[in-house]
Amino acid sequence: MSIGTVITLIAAVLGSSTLAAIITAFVNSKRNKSQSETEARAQYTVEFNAIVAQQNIQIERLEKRVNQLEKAEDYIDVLIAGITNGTIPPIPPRI
Amino acid sequence: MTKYSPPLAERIARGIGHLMFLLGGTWGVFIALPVSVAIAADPIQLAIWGVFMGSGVVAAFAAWRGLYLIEYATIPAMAAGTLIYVAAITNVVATGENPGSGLALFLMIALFSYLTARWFSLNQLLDGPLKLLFKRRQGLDE
Repeated sequence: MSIGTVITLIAAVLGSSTLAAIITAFVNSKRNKSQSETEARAQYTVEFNAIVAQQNIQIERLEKRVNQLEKAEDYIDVLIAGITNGTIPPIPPRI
Repeated sequence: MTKYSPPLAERIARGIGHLMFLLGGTWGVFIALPVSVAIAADPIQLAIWGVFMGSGVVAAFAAWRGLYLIEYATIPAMAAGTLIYVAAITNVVATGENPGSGLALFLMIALFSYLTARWFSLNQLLDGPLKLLFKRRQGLDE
């Protein structure tokens, strides 16, 4: 590949990228409420924090579920131990 | 420019940096063309390279005024100017025409990387048209 072809390729690819970036900037100027880069970054942080908060709620829900499953596991262990000894104890109350 | 624009020193530094693309391009096209570019580019490519470098004046104004969307749109053009110069220098270094240009080659690659990094940093703040379309479709599905 000659150097001339390489330059043409670079011009074509990055020239198209420039056009795409102009369109993107135009589209964002219509819908973006932030007036400055600092505001846009702050908005991005707020959106990020909202996602993190949502994930934290989901994690909390999953932790509760894991706790329930651990209790169920204990219950089954007691049953298995009783059956193994042949002294099936009174079955503990179900959770 | 709003009260919440980036600090003045940052805007000045970035503005000067972008303006240097215009000055460099003007120097190269109208005053003294670098040997590497003269070897690598034909007149049409040279004119396109000049336009890419000239976009630096728009970027400089945008950086100075805190117009980050305009700066975002002009960065690929400046990156194109830089990358074309990188290709031209690589050619003279690789062919042994001027191995001393190796330093300029590394510096230009560094400049290209910084420009790319700045573009991606701004890109993170924006929604691309495709991303918007996807979001809109998701909204319809809900």
